[in-house]
Amino acid sequence: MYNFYSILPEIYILCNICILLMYGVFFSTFPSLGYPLLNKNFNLLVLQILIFSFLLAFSQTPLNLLNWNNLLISDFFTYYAKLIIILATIGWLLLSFGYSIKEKLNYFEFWILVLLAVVAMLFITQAYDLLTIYLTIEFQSLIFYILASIKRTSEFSTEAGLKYFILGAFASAFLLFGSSIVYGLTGLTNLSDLSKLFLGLIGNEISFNLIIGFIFILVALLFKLSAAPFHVWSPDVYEGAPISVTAFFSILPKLAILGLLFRFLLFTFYDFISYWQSIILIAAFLSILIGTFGAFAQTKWKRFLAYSSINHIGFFLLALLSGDLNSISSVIFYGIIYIITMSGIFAFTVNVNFYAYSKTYQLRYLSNIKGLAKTDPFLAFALTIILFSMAGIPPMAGFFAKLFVLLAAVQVDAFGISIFAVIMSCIACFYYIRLIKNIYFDSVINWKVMEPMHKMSSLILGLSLIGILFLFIDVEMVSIITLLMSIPFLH
Amino acid sequence: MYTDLFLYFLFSSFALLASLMVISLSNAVHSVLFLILVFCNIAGLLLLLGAEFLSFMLLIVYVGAIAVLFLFVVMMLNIKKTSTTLSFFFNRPIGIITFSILFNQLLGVFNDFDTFGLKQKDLIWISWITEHNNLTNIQAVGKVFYTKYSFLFILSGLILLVAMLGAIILTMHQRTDVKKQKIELQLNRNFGGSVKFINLRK
Amino acid sequence: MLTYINSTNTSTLLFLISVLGIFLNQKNILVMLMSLEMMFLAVSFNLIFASIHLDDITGQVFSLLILTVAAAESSIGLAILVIYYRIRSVITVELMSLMKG
Repeated sequence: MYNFYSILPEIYILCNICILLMYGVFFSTFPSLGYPLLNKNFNLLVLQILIFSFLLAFSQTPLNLLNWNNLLISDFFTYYAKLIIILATIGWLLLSFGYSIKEKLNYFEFWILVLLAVVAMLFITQAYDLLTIYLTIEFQSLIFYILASIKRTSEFSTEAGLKYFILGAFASAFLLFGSSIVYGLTGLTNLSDLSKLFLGLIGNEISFNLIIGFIFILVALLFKLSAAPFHVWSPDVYEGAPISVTAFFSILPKLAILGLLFRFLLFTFYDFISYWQSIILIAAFLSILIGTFGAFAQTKWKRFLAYSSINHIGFFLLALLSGDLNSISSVIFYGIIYIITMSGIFAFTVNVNFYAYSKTYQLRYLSNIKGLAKTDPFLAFALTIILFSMAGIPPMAGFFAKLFVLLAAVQVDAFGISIFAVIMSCIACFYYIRLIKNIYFDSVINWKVMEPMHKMSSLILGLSLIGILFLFIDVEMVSIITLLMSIPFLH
Repeated sequence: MYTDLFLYFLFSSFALLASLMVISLSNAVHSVLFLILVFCNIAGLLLLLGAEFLSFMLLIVYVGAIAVLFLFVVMMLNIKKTSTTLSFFFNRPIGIITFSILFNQLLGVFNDFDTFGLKQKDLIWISWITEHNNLTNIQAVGKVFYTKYSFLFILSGLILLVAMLGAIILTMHQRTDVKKQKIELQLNRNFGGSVKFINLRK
Repeated sequence: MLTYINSTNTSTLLFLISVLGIFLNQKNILVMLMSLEMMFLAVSFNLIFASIHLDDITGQVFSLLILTVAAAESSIGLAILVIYYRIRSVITVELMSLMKG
């Protein structure tokens, strides 16, 4: 019942966190070495820890077992989701190497918090009980509140942290209230026990209070995923946080919370499907609408990326309507393509620095990339390919992702929302192509001088480009993994 | 038989009144004091129910740690009585609509609201054998907290580690211009050459 | 007789008053943080009474964990408020509009 094998990567990372904390505190207050800054040191150490934990997780065999008094679960989905999360974190780490040195984020505890956030996300994918859901989501959210406000001398950062804290804690309180209502009415907290209780309850036998409790929990989970109409925190927080932290927020937690949402909706509350189908439909509709029209009025790069990620989340929720194998596998496929695309575009955004005499400044406004094609043609080409993939133009990977999601939605006869999604994608194409026009066809009077990108981030940009450009040759490579990952959610 | 009902309604009405005062006062110190009153009333309610360990835990942790932390921050931030530039009725419609919608939803399902005890009740009898052989609250929680829910116990330890890291990263100011004493260097110095005899007169 | 419904009413009312406190707050952000603490307290009370009503220990364990997490969360919230105050010198609500759009 108490099994260490399936949480072995987390235990490894936790032991390393303890050792790193002691190492960091001991050496950074060492006066005879001159209070050294351990930033670069910790970068490389954390990279090594993550590579070893990836090898550890990879060499395990995927088991199917319930762990720790049925509080955790381990199955195919968690095995592959853990591998994807650790890989995505290694990618994020490589692309933020140059940023933390340049921006003088000198806290070595930043990297320890990043490792703790990885542990939290690995635990979220394995959660199987209402208590575990609450504790692991709180664990991850607390770390994100600190990370959002880590630049404590910047007004943007502290305001973003405060807004994120208040709205995030509000959502956690909703999650708690919903689970207290569910526990008070059923007496159970385990997700599989709840699904056995609800088996076959149809029609008038479902009491109204239980639906209220379930809706509270669903609202809280949709808030954490930044789906509309609960998305108001995400543009402000993405804008205010330092940009490598924005990359972290935008790439990593979505897959973990999506997995949790699947387990919650499709496994436990499958019998309530007539109630949550309309809620998810409204959320997907509003997300695609707000994500498309919100990005029109933006002039800043980070808010633009925030609204575009709300658009992508609308597509995630779209394929959740039917709940069969193909639709879940298409959502996970979209999730993987989303991680690759976001890594690529953040590899560009984090490391592009313009040099106007005696100061370098970052990419902040959308109009800063005007005339990029003349100063750096390869970078402009890379950005063009990534923007095409986000818009959904074939033969990039984004097109296949949207295609599979729309196929799954059409299978359940949701024609209206599919036509709406296609129309909104066409409208979204407009502003992506406007950006590409800015890059290629606008000429500025004085050309911008750019510093060369850090080598590691150009590695990530290149890998993401390969993934996006050449996925159409062998789509099977990714879709087999997503099919395997979606088997545990079958009913 | 009605004393516990009376005490229940006393504590719960004081708790709700105090919570209304928390959100509507303009002086921050008064708000924190009414927050402490809410915590004490809920702790009293829990004592009535028989969960005495949790009631005293609530007092120790919430009142003793969190409310004191709030008071420290109120004193540190130097908040005067804030004068509101927006009128008091500015946000009221949306707030009241939200409140009444939620309250109607939740009230409409609970039809069994029997305040004054007018319905026919059964007799209560106390079986002293089970009262004597019971586990206390702390024993019951302890039997299960470190065995079945041990993973959550360790996870909450990690959450406390995160809170400690966060509070130190965000707010610690290490001032470099303050002179400090290093006791270990003072005790370890070699005082062989610290006193010297000089001959002033030749 | 103390029934389950009576105490759910109390904790629900406390929760709703705290939600009202967050939305109708004109004064300062400290009142928002205190309303968050009251929300956690209301949920804890709901869970403890449900656990005594159902004769199950899970609710009390859950409420003990909520106590821990609420303490951690309020300390981080107050730390973020303190560094916000160091830069801004006021903590009124309507000036939090640095990022509009």
